[in-house]
Amino acid sequence: MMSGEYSAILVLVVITNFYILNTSRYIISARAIALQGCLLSLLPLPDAFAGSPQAMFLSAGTLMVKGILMPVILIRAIRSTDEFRVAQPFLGHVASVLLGFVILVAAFWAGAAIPLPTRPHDVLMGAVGLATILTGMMIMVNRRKAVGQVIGFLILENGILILSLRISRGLPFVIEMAILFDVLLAAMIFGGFIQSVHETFSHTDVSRMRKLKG
Amino acid sequence: MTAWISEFVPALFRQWAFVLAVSPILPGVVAKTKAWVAGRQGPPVIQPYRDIVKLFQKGAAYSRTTTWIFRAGPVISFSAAMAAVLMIPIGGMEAPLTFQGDLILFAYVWGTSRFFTMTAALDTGSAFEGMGASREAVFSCLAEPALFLGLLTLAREAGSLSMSDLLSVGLIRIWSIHAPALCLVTTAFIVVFLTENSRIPIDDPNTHLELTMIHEVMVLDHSGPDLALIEYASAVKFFALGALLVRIVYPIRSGGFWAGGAVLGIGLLGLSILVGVIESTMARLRLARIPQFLAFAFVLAGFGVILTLAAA
Repeated sequence: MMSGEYSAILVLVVITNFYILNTSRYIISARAIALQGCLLSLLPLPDAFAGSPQAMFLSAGTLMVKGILMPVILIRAIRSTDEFRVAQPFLGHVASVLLGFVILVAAFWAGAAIPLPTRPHDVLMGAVGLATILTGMMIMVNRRKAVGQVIGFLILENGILILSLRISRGLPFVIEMAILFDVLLAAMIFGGFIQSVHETFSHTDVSRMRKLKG
Repeated sequence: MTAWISEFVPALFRQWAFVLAVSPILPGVVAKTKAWVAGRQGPPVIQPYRDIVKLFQKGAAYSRTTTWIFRAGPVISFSAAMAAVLMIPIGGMEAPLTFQGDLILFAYVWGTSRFFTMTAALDTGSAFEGMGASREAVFSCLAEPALFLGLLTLAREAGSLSMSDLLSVGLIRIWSIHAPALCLVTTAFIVVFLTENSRIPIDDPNTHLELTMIHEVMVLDHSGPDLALIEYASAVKFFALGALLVRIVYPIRSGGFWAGGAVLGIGLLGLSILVGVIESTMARLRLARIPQFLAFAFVLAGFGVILTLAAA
């Protein structure tokens, strides 16, 4: 794969981050996460074409888990409860997008500062990975409804995948796949959790969680 | 001195003649595209020329509450457009007016024009026009950082602060190195272009519904030759900002004024058709969503700057 396509994928990942920050509909966020998962599954492809079957499996696994299964579970959880179609972030959309931009700048600054063996495009990859992790954390903090936390968590996971690809060009295959299935399990548990919280308390507003005792 | 004048003056008038001749056709093409997509016949593409000629033949009505500011508004916005267009290079050579830092002048000449359009709107004493002026001020001050960050990306890579150098052959080299950054800047510029020209999804040039108008409401009280100047200025603005966009997407390598002008004209026609398609397929954004949209454009342009900085 050409280097230009590599950076194009990473740029698109960052744009989906900002898109999720900017949108207020959870279904659209879930679709953007599906797109992000598909983009991530392209990242190990250069190694796969270089003759690494493990990278090929990693790419296929990422596509299955992050691109298809998790968004499907998430969209099903969103559809099953009609209260949280629309995000009501604590911080407004313009402010969160601008904060996301600050995070991006900080990630590029930090990504350049972290001393690691670098190959071409590693700087961009590390920075985008950091920015994605931080953006995911910001979304988790900033969203009022439980499904917003799940979305933030999935973005954070995507960032960790990018960063792990940057650090070692693929952790050992088994670990990588185990992480993928962990995340899948987490997404399934979150889905069930959201539904049962919604059934019991008829809302999942985390700012009112203190009253959820008993 | 005389040699400089004999070189500068023909170039100046050639540029103005070209822009004045070509620019009114662009809104006509947009209207025709919209009509065509909607399955209608639509006005002929030369309708804007006819409108402008018709308006120049009419008299103007002025309210007693207005002062000279109201009359100065259209004249200044037209002059500003004519000044800004001198910094746009047409063809392979430099623009008639070029110096280091002219891109800042280019951006702020539009700012001057906007300021006087807004004060003229406030001068009418109409609450309705004041509302439009307020919206225009908010949205344009959100669009400006996106324009500047985009220009900064280009200026950094071109190593110059002049529009003529930015939009020169050097762009081909920048495209080969920083294609993702330039794509981001181009997208941000499309948003800025739509905002500055009061197009859907920011503003609807055809609307006359009081809750949604932005630009149209500010020029409601102008009539006759004043309105003609405003219409002409907005066509020239469409030309100037469109030319910036077209030249970034399709860098013109060489060629004289007329060859370059023809290429630019074709590019601008394509851009007009694109605007027509956008206007036909998209709805206007809710007013509350517009700052979000513009903040997104700002982030795209800013990311372009970061990418070029990180590559260095």
